[in-house]
Amino acid sequence: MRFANNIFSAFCTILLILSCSSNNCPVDNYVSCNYYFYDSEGTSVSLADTLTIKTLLPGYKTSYIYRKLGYATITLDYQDSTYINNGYAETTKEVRRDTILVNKLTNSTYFQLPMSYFNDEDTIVMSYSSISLSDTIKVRHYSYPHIELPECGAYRFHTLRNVTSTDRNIDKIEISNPKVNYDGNENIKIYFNGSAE
Amino acid sequence: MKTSKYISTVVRNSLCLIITFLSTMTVSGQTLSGLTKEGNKVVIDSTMNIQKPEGPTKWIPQDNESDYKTTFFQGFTLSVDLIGAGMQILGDYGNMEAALRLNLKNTYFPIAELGYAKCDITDDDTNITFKDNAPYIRIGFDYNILKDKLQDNKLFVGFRYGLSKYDYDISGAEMTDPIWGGSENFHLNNISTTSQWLELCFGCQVKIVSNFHMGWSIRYKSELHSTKSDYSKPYYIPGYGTTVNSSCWGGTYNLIFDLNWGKKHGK
Repeated sequence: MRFANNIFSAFCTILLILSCSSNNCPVDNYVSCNYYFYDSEGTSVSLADTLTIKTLLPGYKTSYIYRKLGYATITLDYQDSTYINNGYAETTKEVRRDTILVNKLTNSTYFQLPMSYFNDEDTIVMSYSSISLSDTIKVRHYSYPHIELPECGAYRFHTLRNVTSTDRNIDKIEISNPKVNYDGNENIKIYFNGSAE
Repeated sequence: MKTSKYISTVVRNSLCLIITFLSTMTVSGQTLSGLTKEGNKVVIDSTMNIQKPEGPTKWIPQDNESDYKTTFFQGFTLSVDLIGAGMQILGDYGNMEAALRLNLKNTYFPIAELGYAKCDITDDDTNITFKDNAPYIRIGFDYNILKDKLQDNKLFVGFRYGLSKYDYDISGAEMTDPIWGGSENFHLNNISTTSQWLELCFGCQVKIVSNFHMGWSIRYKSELHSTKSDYSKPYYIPGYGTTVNSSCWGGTYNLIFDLNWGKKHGK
């Protein structure tokens, strides 16, 4: 009888211990591709420059360019007659549509960007405050839906295939983890020119 | 009327079984409280007022029960689960299940449960639909915790190991890209998965008529492993239930045919 009592008591104890459970919907559910900064020797660095990051969108737009001798060239997405009245010359050209994803990022060791759901390739343009040139990064990826549970909704995960960049300020770029999801892992390493030493 | 009578019999008898079991535990505790231990001897504390039982305190098998211990295989039971079938008829998911349980010395009960489960559910908020249907198997062991093993009624604790190999489909409404634009529906079909889980069980079985019994069990289930997919995790595992939480509770209500050729009271 004591054996049965012990078994019954152990059963009740185990049930009490195991009665705690958790909901499986993810709390941090922002899907992002995470880019981390390194110097040319592979040391993690915090970028002192101010960084603005744009991405190119499908389609084209008209860009208005205002030039005047001895003044900086001004590029706008809209027409501004004030510049013409002040002696600027206006020219237009068709350029790819874009949008700013990160605005004036400073003193950071990384940035996070969303990825397109239905395009094979995303084009990222990184502009620096210290130099007038910018770097362009092209990321090829495969996107697919991910459902944790029907009640949690659907997310779009991505698998990175290839990444390339221009070399104005970037020494090299490489994929460190191709799985882009909401885990927050490092996905791409950007090696800038120069050393932190 | 007869069905409700049988069900009320099961409920009443199961409550009696639990009360009987708990009372025997309490009595055991009272008996021990009057004893003290000196070295290897156990003596009765004379200052305590303990009524000595008139008969022997140790259970001795009666003549007609003496051969009980020698009979190892006492019979088997076949049962079907009514709760799973009811859920399948009335709800979005459920299962048809039958079980074979061996009776070893009226104490140990190895059991195998086979079933076929089906799920077709759409979330109202997200409009995501999950579908699967597949067989499953559970194997495990029950232990009869009643002191009197010879009676027809039984009170069990036990465990199960469950296994199911199945394919499932998930489809949903349009996903719209908020930055780059565009939208698409998604249909993910035939995602192949194998799931394993463990269950802790507590239940009973009471006699209704002749060899026909009824019983119930409550179960705490914990998922051990499911094959991982990039696309999703299964919402419903056949034989286990929904995976909304990392563990869940379940239950069965069984119609049981008990073929017991072993020793019973008065035979």
